[in-house]
Amino acid sequence: MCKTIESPNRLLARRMSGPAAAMACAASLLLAGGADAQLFRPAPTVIENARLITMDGEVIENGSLLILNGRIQRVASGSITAERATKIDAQGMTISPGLIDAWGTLAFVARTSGGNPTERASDAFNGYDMDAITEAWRNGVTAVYLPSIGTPGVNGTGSVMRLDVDRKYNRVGAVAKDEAALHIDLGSSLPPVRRISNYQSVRERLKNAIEYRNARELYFEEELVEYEKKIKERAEKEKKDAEKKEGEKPAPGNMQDGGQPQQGGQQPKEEEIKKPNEPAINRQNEVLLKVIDRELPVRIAADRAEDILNALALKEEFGLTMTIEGGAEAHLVARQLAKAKVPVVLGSMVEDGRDRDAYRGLLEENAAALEAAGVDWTIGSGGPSAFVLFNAQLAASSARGLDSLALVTSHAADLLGLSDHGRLAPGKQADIVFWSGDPRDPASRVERVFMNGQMVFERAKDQGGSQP
Amino acid sequence: MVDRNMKFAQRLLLLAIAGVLSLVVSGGAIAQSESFTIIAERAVMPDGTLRANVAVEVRGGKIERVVDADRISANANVIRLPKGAVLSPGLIDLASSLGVEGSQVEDTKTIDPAVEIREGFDPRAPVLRRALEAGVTAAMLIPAPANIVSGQTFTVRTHPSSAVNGASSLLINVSSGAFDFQQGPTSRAGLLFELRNALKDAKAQPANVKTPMTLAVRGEMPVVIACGTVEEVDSALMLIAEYGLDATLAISDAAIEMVDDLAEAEVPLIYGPLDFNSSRRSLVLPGMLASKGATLGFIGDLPAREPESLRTTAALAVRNGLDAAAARRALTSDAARIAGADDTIGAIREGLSADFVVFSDDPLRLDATVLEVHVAGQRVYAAPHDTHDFGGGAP
Repeated sequence: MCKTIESPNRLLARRMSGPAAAMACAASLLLAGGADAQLFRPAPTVIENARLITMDGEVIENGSLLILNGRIQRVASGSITAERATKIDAQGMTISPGLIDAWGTLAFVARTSGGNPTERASDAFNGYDMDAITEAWRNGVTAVYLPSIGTPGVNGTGSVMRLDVDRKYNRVGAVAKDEAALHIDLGSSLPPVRRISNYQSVRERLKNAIEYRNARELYFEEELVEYEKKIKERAEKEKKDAEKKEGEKPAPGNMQDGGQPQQGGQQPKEEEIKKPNEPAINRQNEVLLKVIDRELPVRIAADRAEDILNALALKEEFGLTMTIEGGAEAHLVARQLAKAKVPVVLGSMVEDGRDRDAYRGLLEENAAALEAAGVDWTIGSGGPSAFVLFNAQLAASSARGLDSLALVTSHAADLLGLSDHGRLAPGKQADIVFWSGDPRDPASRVERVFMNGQMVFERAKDQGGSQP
Repeated sequence: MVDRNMKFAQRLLLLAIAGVLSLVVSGGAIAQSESFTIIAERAVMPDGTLRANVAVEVRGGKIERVVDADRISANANVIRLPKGAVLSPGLIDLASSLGVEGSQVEDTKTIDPAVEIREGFDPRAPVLRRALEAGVTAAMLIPAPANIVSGQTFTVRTHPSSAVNGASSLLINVSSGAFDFQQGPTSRAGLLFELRNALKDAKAQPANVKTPMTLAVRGEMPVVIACGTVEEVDSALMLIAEYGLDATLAISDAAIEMVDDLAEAEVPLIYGPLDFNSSRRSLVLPGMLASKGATLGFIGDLPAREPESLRTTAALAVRNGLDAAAARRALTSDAARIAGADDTIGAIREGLSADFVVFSDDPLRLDATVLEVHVAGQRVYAAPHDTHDFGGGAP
């Protein structure tokens, strides 16, 4: 391992897979202009003879991709020549960006205990759950936004995981974005009274966080300053007094008589200057303050229209940056969502035993209504991620003219703020999927998945079991 | 539920108005005339494949001829489907309770062949309209398999104006669902003992006695046998062999252990629903069965699930190895055969009822939408042109 790398993001560096780290090392050597650099310089990969669905508005029928250091360098029609390149013949297969599940519980260990904003969803990802991860690859999924699921109310923060192989620990999972958003569940499945109290408790927590900050500010900006001022004043006074004493010393005649009144005068001044108590650091409130300062967005789980309106009221009251998650009744308040510019991540379109009658309206209509109102939206699986494209197809079917594939690639990346994902374009991460045909045709199969430019899944070697 | 029903009612009314208007405006002669021809870029054939450039001649509500589109003369009464659209037979849900309100369990007797699910059917139930608009034009209603013999199935159209005259099947259940701790049986051995006695009794009846049970043991009335575990599948196959039953098996994913036996027995199978949380073994089973030559039909579990559940089941099976043509057959022609209605519906074939669904694309693609639904030659549904106005969001 090269020890000279100083990554700004240590977590990422730690999770960087062996070969990738080696490549980064080699790259740094190259930059350093070492004589041996040529030896270590990573060779590019050229994938040719592919139908490229770039998601940048065009499909390149006979195209090529140049990949270097895990990133797409070039996208071109025809072939690309590059020195020392490893060539891969895609044999006419279709290549798309890896699918992104904007809301999934893939390889998710468990719900958290809830109520604790410092909990991170990435810690609940089980990188050894190869059954679930292989199933996701098998269906072209390469990244998932994991929510923090706990109890109704404030939960932890969500994370985006890339399904890259961590060769050092022989597991899967690279954090693409940690602490992506704070999760607040408005408890749409709760009975009405509890939903109201839940909403109030969320407001209380945010208010408490503000009070906590006010108390800390009061302490540091006033109480502590006051205290320091007093200490300083006394110190100065003592110094003065001492100097005075010093000055008085040469007059020994006064020593016996004058000593008494002087001491008696000093005693009342020696009252204790009490140090104010510092309000203890509260890490949970610190996270909530990031939310209030808009450094951290919130994801609000809300299905009922009235809960969505409550969410919008929270946004108003506390000035939050917000996304709605679930949104089964979002179509009923589509205009308000559009006006507040709040995006929505819809959940699965096919229910599995959930009592749908509890919510009004059909989910399929939901997508169309959001689209018509101009709400920024996409759809997540709300489950194990593998079939998120099917979810998107069902959603797109009701809002005609929408591209289901865009919903789970470019658009999901945009909505999640993953600027280097979701498209086949220079600079994007080479997380790509080879399909036997159009991804939207269920008869098409995922033939290969490349993460970071390296193959992690190949159908020809897929035993249907749990090995990557 | 009420809200949803109201919505349907409203939509129905709007559609009716729109329908009348369009008839007035664009010469309703086409939709109403006795004889017309539909030309489609692609159509689902009885073998499940997609055929290009198909013309379907309809007369008196029935399919008269299916020919190449270029053989149609220019002056014929022609409806040309939009570009990319696929003409498909109506989809059929097997093991459905569409339009059957309340309990489907009759638990006063453990063997109750006389119960007819058709008696509990309400042809005006709003869920039927929702199914119809999603392209599900027929369903085989089944009594809940809570008894050893739960009664008779019934195949209906989801469009209330016309019922399918399909024959009923007898529903037999060899799974633990039929255990009853008050009346018995409480074990598989007990269940099979009681069932065999009933079948033996029926077999001993003279030929002029025509009860559902006697017809079943003579192979004159089909049976559907619900079986869950491997042992139950085994029992079902044994009973079919012993009594020469004309049977269809309703199976679960446990059947993955019995794929070869099931294929060898040449028994049609009904299976489903699949959803996005289904296990891998559930997902791959249809493909495995079909590759061995088994005939399949799907359960969409309507109306407990949305009607799209039927196509979702098919799409998931295809993504996991089922041949696309076999999947389309399982939604249409093979389903019709299992439902005992293949003499009336389930295929675009001469002599069958003109029950069509016009999809915007291959019905296996989940982004394909239903553009139109025709029943017996009548257009009973057309998707609104502007699907975007839902009137939601009044401040």
